[in-house]
Amino acid sequence: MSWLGEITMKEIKNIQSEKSRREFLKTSALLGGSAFFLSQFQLAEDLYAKAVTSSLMPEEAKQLSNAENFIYTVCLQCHTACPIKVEIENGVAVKIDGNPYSIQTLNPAIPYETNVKDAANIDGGICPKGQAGIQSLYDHYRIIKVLKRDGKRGENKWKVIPFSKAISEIVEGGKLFSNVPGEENRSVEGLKTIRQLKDPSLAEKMAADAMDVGNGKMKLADFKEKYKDRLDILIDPDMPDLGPKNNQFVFQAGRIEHGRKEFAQRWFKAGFGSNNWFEHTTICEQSHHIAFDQITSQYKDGKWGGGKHHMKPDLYNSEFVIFFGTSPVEANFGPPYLSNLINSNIVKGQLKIVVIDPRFSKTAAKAWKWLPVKPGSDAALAYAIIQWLIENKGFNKKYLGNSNKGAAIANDETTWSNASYLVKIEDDGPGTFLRASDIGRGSKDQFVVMWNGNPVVFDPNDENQVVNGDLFYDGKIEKFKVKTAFQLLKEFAFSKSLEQWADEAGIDKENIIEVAKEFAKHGKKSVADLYRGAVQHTSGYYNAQAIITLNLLAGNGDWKGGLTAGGSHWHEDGSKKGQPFNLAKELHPNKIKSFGHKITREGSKYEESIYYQKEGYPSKRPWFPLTSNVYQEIIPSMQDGYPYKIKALMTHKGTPVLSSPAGHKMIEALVDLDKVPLYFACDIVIGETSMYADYIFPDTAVWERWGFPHTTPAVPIKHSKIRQPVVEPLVDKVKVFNEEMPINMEAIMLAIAENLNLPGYGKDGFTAGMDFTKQEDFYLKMAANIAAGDKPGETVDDINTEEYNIFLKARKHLSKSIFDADLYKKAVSDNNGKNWWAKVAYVLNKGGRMEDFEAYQNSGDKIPHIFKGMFNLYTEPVALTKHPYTGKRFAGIAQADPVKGFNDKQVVQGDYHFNLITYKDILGGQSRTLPTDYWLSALSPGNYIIMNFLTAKELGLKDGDSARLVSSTNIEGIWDLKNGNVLPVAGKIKVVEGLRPGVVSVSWSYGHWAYGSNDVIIDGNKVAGDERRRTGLCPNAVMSIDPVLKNVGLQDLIGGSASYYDSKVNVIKV
Amino acid sequence: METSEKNSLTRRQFFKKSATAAIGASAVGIVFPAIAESGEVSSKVIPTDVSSDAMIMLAELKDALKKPIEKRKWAMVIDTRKCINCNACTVACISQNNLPPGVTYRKVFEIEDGEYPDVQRYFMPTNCMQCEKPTCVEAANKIIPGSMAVRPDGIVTIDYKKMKGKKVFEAAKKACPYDNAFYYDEGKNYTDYTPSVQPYEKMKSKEYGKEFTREETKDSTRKCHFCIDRIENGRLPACVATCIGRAMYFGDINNTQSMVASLIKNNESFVLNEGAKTLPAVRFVNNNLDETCLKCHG
Repeated sequence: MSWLGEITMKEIKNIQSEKSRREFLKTSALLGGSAFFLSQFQLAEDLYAKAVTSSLMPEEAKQLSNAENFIYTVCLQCHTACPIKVEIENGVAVKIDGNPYSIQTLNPAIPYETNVKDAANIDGGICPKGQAGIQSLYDHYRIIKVLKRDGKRGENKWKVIPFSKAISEIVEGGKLFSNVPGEENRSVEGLKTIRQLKDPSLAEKMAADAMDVGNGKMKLADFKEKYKDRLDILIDPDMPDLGPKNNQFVFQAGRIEHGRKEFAQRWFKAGFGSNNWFEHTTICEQSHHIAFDQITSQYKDGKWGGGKHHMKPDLYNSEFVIFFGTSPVEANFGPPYLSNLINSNIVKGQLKIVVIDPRFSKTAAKAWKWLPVKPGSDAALAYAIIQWLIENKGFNKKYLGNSNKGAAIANDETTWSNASYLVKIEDDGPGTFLRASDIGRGSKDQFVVMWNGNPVVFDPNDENQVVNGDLFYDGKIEKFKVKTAFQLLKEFAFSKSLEQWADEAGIDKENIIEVAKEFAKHGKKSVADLYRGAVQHTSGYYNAQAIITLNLLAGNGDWKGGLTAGGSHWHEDGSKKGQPFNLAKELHPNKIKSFGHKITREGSKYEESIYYQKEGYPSKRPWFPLTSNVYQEIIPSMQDGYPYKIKALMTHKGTPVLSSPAGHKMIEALVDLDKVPLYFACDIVIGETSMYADYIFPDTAVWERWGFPHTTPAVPIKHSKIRQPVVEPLVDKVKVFNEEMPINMEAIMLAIAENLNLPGYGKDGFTAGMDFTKQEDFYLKMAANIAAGDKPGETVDDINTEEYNIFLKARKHLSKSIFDADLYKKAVSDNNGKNWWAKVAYVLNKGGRMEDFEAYQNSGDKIPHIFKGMFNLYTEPVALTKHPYTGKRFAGIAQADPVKGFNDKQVVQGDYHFNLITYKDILGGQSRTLPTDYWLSALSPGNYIIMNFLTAKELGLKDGDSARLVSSTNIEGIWDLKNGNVLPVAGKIKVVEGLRPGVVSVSWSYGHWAYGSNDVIIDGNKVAGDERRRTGLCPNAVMSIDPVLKNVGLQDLIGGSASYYDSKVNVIKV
Repeated sequence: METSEKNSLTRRQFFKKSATAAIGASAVGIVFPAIAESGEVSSKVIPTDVSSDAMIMLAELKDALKKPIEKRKWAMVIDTRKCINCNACTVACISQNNLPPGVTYRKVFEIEDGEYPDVQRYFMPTNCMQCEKPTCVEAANKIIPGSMAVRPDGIVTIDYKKMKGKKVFEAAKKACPYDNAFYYDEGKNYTDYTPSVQPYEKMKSKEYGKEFTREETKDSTRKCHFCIDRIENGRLPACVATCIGRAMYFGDINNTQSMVASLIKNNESFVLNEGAKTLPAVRFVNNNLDETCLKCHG
């Protein structure tokens, strides 16, 4: 076994002066060594050579401010996705600044109609990662050609393979690895054979019937009779609800963004016909989204739905904001926009903030109070505040008593809550809301409140009837035991004393009361905000619900200074009436309806599956009906073959092994050829997960490609961002559908579509006369939809001649395969004969479409884009959902739960004492930036195991000591890379005052073992890694593994969030 | 309440303090100035109370550039209450000036104070102070005449061709009363010792109205020059433009109405190492000196 990892943390200059030059064999596969690379930058070389002998002409200095040198695009060094302007000199990106048209970087932004010439000298502010984007773009460890493994999985032996050959191998299958010892006779099933269901009308019929067998509405025998000639399509004819064999191809994207999401979903679900499309969300913050989703779901046509996933404080006007588990000046969404507002308003004396975090973050440095909460106990803290507010009448009684839309309108509100609604109390606890039909006074879609001693029935959405309800009621109506939602909240809040809640949260009572007082004082301008720190726990959903409830008590929804769903964006998917290209619902002839339970069982009720009919409780692995994108379950489910085995996996822009808790367990599955027979990755480098693939395809970098990221709800105005290529992509180019294009996710998908003849691609791919042969055909239509707006009469202007000339000149360095105005123009002719190019060029020229700030100024006392709906204090769908292990119902009111495993029992972590938490420094975005960006790693060469001085004293440790982290499920504290190498979870101690004692904190973005940090072999040549990239540690391998499931970390059974902060570790000096 | 009034700047009054907090659109605004040389001015009106700091500084910059150079006096004001120690400024500067490893024209310092749970962290960005009476210039020119100079607008400059070698570097650094101004350029690249030097490192740095290759600045002393090439093209210095905390301010202090002048007038501010009497052009704002910096530096 050989030990990898950081040796010592030296300063950059020491490394460079002390080490002798290593023998680098230039390999054409990586950016740094290619002939392509050298010739592409011949211009730069020439310039360089010329400059040595000559000096600069004065006019060239003016070039700095010439609008022709900028292209506007969007950063993605983190997911704030700030709009940026990239300055280009002779085809090289030389400087990045913020896009002044965007409020995310310049607040307020310049008017959208400002001529681009005038915008040239105006820069928005971006964070250090954004500035260092140039280094992520020009990274010598980027792969530019396709690699195929030339050894065992994870051995890191690769050979270059032509793109078209890799595609045909993946599609056709066969004995693809016969040169690898042990795989001489292993035959791999290709995508061609996996794709059994190809007939759209058959898919449509089968989809409905298969799920009906699952939920008992159709008999299995009847199904088998109806489809008797086609049962071979199914994974298991006795379990049709598992879906067709197509589902055995899994697409696991990490942090894919809009634009690419829709591109990939079209290809994968509607084209290929598999239901197993995933992105990252539960390792990010999903339980936060699901809590908001449940709290903001509307009741329409007998169903709950249409909830928002994300709301934020309106910081322009907020007076008091409590941040639970998030540091807006370091992370969240995101520092450039939020730091500006928070700082300015604190300095003005308008805003006071409280930071609730075991760690004294940089945001805490600006806070009125820092409450170093015990990790995971945010619900307890929220309930302490709720108790005080109820006790001291510090909640908005009037607001909470508005029971429907009519009452809201009558009270100058645009939102109301279901606080007064009567809930039926069943034998096993609170269940559904009482309906008018229950008591024979109306329909099943009418609810009931008490008012002046009498029940009142009503429709929540009725504008005309004004209904108010009592907040407290505990009694009987007809035969039903009922309580109001608010009554339930109160009972839970008072189920413990304030002292007990305070003790559970680890915060002194006095501070909690002061915070509660302040929260009450500012009324609708008080907001409780939260992010990962509060929700990446097994109780994350409930934590979020408890915190968001504070906003309901303040009645702050839609008010300036209160809670906002944001200004949203124009719909690039074309789903709004009148938009030129409806990519969401139309323009896909013969598309397949994918169906069947996903391998993560997300979006499916266990009780509506044949598995349940056969096995009952407990289920073998969790089912997640209320959530989606349960990322950490994907590979472990493959390992268990539950609910079914898979045949092929494609990962894209994601590294589950590195970024999931207990990700090291996933390596075991990935090297198992029976569990994952075929694995191909689309990645920008040989990464910590893609190194285990059979094939790695390059991807275009952020500054080389298209995208349509959405905007954080912290922004109150409408704001659409467009990512577009600013430099010639550095990856190889290939031909697909006879079009030249760079190798990237889109090229892979188009090539497989071409190979498999998937519906919706090639000639007439969108519809007659509208071909789909290159990625611009898709993305430019999205830009056209934005230019058209969401409503008729909302189109942008045509671009004028002067600005169009600038637009063209700015792109003169791009080859025809990347930018060709004539080809682009063709892609935006709609079915009505209208060509949108003049308007598309307008929005591309400015990097998107942005509403002017005056929309906020002119919207009175409410935010300009209102949410306008009901907030659910009590969430009925959750109360109706059963725990898949125990069959017990979940709760409609937030609970304050301990750390639990899949069996719903408290997790015992034995003799491990210290709470492990992680955080993001502003220099690190997900798994990238550090290590690649040397400007950033020069400022912070590595990370630390941070602890309070009391903890250090207890452990006999001091600043600078080396130590290892161990846990009950990783007693050695190692990453076993399953290729002969191990990596200890070890690093240097840092002692601080600003951390709760008993907590150990490790920042993210370090501890790499791939990504250019260690040696790989390509075409028989060693390519040495860069020592600067393997500093620090990644703590995920010591995060606790679920005691029942045994191959995945702990998780939240309702929202699906992966637990990062519930693990207990010990710290061993080395 | 009091703090707000003390900190208020008439130009930057964002929201009127009222119970309804309606944003008044009643103020008659300044005409939004176009910055480009075209002479054409966009007529879009923005109410005064919502111009961003950057736009105001850009308008002031344009006015200042109209004056003869000796009538401008560049100053920088850093509001330490708003620094978040993100280092966007540090990295923007490295990128803007294509600096080699070992050279950063600015640094942000941090210190933790107090005992758990009464903790605080202080952030302190610094760069060359562009002193009015720079002791570095004299010291450097004694070693190599013509190494350094002071421009009429107050920027202290280096002649890369002349100021070569460790001796003159050390002399300047020693004479400087501040820690953070001078750096020695060893002519390296961040992407040395990797398969190849990347194209952005091969581009020339644009400084002092000229362009320089890595070869040409090797063994030179380097320091902040307030981004001469940006400001003379009507753009704010890189650090000021990128500061996401909005802690950085820049302008012509001879303009008594400028943001920098107003900030100093309306707030408690200080210079570092005042006793050295070099008259730095960089001032720091902090309205709570007694309870913050002076606890240790008092």
